[in-house]
Amino acid sequence: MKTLFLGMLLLIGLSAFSQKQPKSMTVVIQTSAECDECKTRLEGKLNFTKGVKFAELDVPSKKLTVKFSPKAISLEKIKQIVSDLGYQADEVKANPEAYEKLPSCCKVGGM
Amino acid sequence: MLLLLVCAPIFLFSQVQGIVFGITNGQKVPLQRASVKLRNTQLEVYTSDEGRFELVLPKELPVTMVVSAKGYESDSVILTKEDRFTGLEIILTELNEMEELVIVSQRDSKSISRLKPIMIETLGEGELKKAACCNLSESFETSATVDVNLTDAISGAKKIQMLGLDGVYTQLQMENIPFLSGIESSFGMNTVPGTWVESIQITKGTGSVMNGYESMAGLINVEFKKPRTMERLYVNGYGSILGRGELNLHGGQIINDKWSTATFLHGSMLQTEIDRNKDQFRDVPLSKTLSALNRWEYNGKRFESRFGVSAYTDERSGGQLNAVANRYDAQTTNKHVDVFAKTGFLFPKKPYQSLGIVYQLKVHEFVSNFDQRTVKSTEKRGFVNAIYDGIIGTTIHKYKVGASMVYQDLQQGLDTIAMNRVVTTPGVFAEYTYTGVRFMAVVGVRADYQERYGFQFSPRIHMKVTLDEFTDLRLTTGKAFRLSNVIVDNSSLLATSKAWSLPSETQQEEVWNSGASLVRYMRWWNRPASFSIDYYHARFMNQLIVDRERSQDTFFFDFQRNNAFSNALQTELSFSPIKVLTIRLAYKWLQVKAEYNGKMQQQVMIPQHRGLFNVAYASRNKKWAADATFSLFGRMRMHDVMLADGTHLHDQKSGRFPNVLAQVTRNFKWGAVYVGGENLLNFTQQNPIISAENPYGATFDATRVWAPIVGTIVYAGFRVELKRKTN
Repeated sequence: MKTLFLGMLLLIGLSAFSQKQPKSMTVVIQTSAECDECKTRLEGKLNFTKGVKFAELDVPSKKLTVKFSPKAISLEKIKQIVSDLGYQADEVKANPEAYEKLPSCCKVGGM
Repeated sequence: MLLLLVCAPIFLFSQVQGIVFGITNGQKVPLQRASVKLRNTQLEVYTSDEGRFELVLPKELPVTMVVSAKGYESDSVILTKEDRFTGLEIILTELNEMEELVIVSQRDSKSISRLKPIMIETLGEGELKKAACCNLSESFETSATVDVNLTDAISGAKKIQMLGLDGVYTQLQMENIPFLSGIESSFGMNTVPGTWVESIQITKGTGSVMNGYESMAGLINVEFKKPRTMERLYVNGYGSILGRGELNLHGGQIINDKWSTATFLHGSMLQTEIDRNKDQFRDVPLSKTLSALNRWEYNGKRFESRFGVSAYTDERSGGQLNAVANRYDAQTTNKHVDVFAKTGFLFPKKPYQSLGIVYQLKVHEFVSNFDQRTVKSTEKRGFVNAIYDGIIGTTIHKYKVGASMVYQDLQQGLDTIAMNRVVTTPGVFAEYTYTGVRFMAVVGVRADYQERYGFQFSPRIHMKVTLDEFTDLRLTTGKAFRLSNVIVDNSSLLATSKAWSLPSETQQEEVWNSGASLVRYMRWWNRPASFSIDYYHARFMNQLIVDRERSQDTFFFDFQRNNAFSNALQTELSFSPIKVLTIRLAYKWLQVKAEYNGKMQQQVMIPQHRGLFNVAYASRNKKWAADATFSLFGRMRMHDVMLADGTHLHDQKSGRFPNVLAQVTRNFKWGAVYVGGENLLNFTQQNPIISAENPYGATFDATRVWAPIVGTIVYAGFRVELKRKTN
C-alpha cells in the first residue's frame, strides 16, 4: 500500500511538472467514510461530477479510488468535493458544516 | 471474559489497554474500529487495526466500560481500581437476532444471511430493479427459487410456485403482517409494484412458528420502503409495446423525530387487444389496476408502532376479441381494503425483552366469470398475533412465546354451489433459540384450534451448523397446515368446458416439510463467490388434488391422505469473474407427485428440470447497468385432452422452452432510464387453447398452458428519485 501511495505521489508530482498531462489518472484517497451510506454519498456525488470516470469506496479500508481526467478536474478539486460532503480526504480536513449534517452512521465511529 | 494480557507501561495517570476480539463462525479475530466508551463520561476511543485500544480512566472508579462494534453484541465491563494499568481482552460475539431487519447491501442484490439459523434468501432492491417491468409476481423471474406460471390462457392470472408447490402453499407477509392471503393469492401479486419494495426474504420450508401455521412450502416476506429512509418523492413510468402503461408514485415524509409517514400509489392499464397467435382470443387480458398504501410510523423510547391502510382494485377482461360475434368473455374483479398495525413495547431497563403485537383486518371481494360460470367470493378476515421476546440468563438462550387468533368469514360460490364458512382459529406458540459458537438451534411448537377439526400441533426444528469458516449447513423440519379454499384456489381451472366434481366438505391440508441446505462462501479472483445446494422433501398428510385425467369431461377435486409428496433439489453458483460482472447459475430438479387417474404421477405442468443463467453488469461508475437472464424449462407432463375432430391426445409431454429477459439501465443524478425485453427468443406455445374456435363446445380447454402465449415484449421506462438529503 505504501509503495502504491508513494507511486501516486510521484505520479501527481510528475503530472504537476510535466507539460503534457495524461489522459486519465487513478488515485487512491484515504477518507474518513464509515459505512455503506457514506459509499452511496461519495460515489453518488463523484460519479456524476464532470471529469470523473469512476469513483469507488472500499468501506473497510476507507480508501476511495478515483479515475479522472486531469484536464477536466484537478485532484485538489476532487478532494474539495469529498471534504464538502463531510469527509476527510488525505490531508484535506472535512468541511465541519457538512460533517455535522451527516447521518450518525457516517460520523467517526458511527454505528 | 476477562483475561490478563499485558502489563501497561506505568504512567502517572491510571489507564487501561486492551484488545477487542470478535467471534465470527468460531474464529477469534481482532476487531478494528470497535467503540470503547466509558458510561456517563465523554470518553470514547476506537480500536486500531489490530483491535488495540488505550483509555485514560477518570478518578472516580468503578466505571462501566461499554464495548460495541457493528454486527456484534455489545458488552460492558465494570472497571475497578484493580483494573488500572492492566490489559483487557474483550470478546464480542456476533449478533444472532433471527428476525433482525435484513439490511440490504447495495453490492449484493441477492444474498443469503449467514447469521440466521433458517436459510433466508434475500432479494434486494438491486435485484428488483433488474426486471423493471415488475409487479411482485414478475419480480421473481430472475430468481430460481420461485417460479412464476400462467395458470390458464384466458384470465392472465399468474401464480407463483415454490418447491414445485402451488402458490397457495406459500405464506406471504408484509413486514410480518399477513399479506395477500386467502382468496387474494391468485391475483393479489399483480397489484403490488416492485418499486414499493425494499427487499424480499424467501424462506423455504416451514419457517418460524411465530409467523403462523400456513407456511407449508415456504414463506415470503416483503419489506416495503420505510418512511425514514425512502425517497421523498419517486416517480416511475413504464410502457410496453403491448400498450401496457404503468405509473408508480411514492414518497416519505418525516414529521418529527417520532412520527413519519409514507404514501404509495400505483396505476396500470392495458386497453389494447393483442392476438398475435390469431386464435381470436386476447393473448393478454385487458386490465386496469389501481392500488394505494398509506403507512405511518411512530418511534418512541418505550413504544413503537407501524400502522396503515391499503386498498386496491384490479379488473381483468380476457376472452375472445371484441370483434367476435357471441364472444366468450372472462372477467375477473378483485376489490380489497385492509388496515394493519404493528406495535412494539420495549423495556429500556431490560434490553432483551420486548412485546410485539400485530393486528390486521381485511375485506376482499373476488368475482370471476368464464362465460356462464361464475365464482363469487368475499372474505372478511381478522388477525392478531402477540409475541413476547425474552432471554434465559444470557442471550445464548432466547425464547419467544405468544398467541394468535385468526377469524375468517369466507363466502364462496360457484354457480349454484356454496362453500361458505366462518372459522375462528385461536393458537398459542413457543420457540426457544440456542446460540452457540458454531451451532444454533431453533425449536418451536404451536397449537391451533379449529372447531371442526380440533387441535393441530405444529412442531418445527431448525438448526445451523457452521462447518468451517466458509461453510454453513442448515437442517429443518416442521409441520404446517391450512384450510383449503377449494373453489377460489383453483378458479383458473374454470377456463374449460369440463365439469368440476367438488369434495363434499373442506378439509385441512397438512404437510411435513423437511430439508437441508449447504452454503459455501468462496473468494474467486479475490471477489466474493458462493455455492449453495439444498434439498426439500414435503410429505402431505392431506392435500387437495385436482385430477384432470381420470375422466374426459370432468376435473375431480379430492383430498388425498398420506399420498402426495414433493422433492425439490436446487443448486446455485454465483461469482464475479471481473469486477463489473456477476454471474449466477442455477439448476432445479422437481418431483411433485400425487395420485392421478389411479397412478402416482408427476403433477401436470411441473417441469422436472429447470436451469437459470443470469449475468449482471454494472459499470464502475454505476452509470450503466445491464442484466440478462436465460431460463430453460424442461418437459412437463400434460393432461390428456380430446380435440374437436375426435383425436385423443394421450400421455403428452410439453416441449422444452427457453425464456430470455434482458434490461439496460442508464442511471442519472435524478434517477434512471431503462429499456428491456421479455421473452426475447420469442418462444410461444402453439395452440395454447384447445378448440379455441369453438369455446362453447365440449372439447374447449384453456388450462393446458405451459409456455408464454405472447412473444417478445419490449418495454421502456424511467425513474425520477428525489432522495432524502439528511439523516
